[in-house]
Amino acid sequence: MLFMTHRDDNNGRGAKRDDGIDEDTLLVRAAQSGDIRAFEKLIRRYERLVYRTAFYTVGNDEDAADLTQEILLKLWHGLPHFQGNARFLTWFAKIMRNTCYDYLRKKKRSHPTQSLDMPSDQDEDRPCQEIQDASSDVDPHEVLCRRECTSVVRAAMQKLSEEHRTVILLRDIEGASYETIAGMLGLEVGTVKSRLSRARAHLKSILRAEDFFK
Amino acid sequence: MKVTQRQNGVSENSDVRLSDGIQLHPCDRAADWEPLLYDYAEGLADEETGAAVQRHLEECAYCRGAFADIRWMTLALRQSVPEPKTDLGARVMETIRAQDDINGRVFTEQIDVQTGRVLSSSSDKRGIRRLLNTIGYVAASLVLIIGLFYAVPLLRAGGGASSSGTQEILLDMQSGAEDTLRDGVVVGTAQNADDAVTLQVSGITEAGLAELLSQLTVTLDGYSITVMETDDGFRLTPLSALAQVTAMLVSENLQVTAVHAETASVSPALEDAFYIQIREPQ
Repeated sequence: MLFMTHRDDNNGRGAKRDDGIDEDTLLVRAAQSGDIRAFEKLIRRYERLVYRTAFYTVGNDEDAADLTQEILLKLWHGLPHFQGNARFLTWFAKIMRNTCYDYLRKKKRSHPTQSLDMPSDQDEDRPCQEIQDASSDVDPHEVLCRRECTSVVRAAMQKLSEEHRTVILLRDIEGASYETIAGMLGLEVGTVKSRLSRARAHLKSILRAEDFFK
Repeated sequence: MKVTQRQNGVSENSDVRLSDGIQLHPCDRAADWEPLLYDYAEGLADEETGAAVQRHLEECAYCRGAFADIRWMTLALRQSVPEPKTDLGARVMETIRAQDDINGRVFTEQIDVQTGRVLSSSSDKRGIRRLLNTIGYVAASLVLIIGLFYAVPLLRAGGGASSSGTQEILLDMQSGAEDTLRDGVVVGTAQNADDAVTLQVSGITEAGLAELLSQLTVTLDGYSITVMETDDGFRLTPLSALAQVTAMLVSENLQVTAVHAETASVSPALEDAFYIQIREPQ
């Protein structure tokens, strides 16, 4: 079995093998030479992160799914041009960011923007349904409360700057390590930590204004 | 005393007034503890840090209140993004495989019968490269063989070229599809338990075998595999649990040969199937 070296909580992202080579790098190299299965392994590592980023960009599942696929396809087509001068994650993050911008621009031209504080019925039903499925004896009041909280949090995230939203997404939602985030954003770890601290404080102040903590 | 209602967050480091009116003094090291509280709430703290946080929370009512807020907020954050309804990665891979699917027309256009080389002037060179690189299935190999079988006379007829520049193996391929399969294909079977596969070769010229050995490039998910000649064929190592390996020598100048590793008869779930990469001439 390949790549049986240690994996961290981030599904192996950024993890290094015993010989010091980043596992992503190995997968990227193999994929660049046409190894389609290496590419599949690579996108399996990042598809959730991409989807979550896309979701917070477009605000609903359907568009997020489309955007996710577009980003991953761009990765495949762009991979032969990746020179390896920058870290893969940094390069990939740029693809994600640019594709999200393009998507929003296209969307804006064809449809009015749908914001996350107005989730579609479809999306709004999901958390509630998931909670009910998880336990049939869940307090309905709690279900409603959680559903409301989800909506409030989505709206609060939308009020953050993109920089702040990104670090919270990566750390508090995705659970990425500081090193991984630093690699993706091209920042020092210390900068990531301080930015994250400010982002959390800002998010908390927005949520507090919404009586979220009461 | 349970901290349930707080008017201020820990980040401001101000006094906290509880619902029962009792005022808490802020923690002197609240700013230091805060990121650790997040890590702990999100399950990202290591064992040592987690134990330290636990001890501190037992002693500090202010941070206990902050921790309750953080836990609630991070829980809501993680629930704020739904899971995708479909397997997006699988859909992407389907699209990629469909885009890069084998196209006999494109492939035959790349073959120069006089030299056996892949033509580099194709407008779809990248597609061809990817096409060749991603061949990994027996069916694909068969398509390749048959495509060549029909392509060679077609190209010859069109170009009016002689066969003087072609290699012996390529000439053999004109004698018929069955001959092509017999003469051009190398079939191997896993014969031992030490993660190696022996290729048993038959119906191929000595020169062709030497060419195969010198040009064969085998990778296993990015790992190079050594090809060694043995008394009874060629051994590829390391390779695990393969039931059968099929390799096809198309043309020495094509610098490749195709390839497949059968795992189905051992276990369809095995991930260690390998394929031989097909490379364009340098």
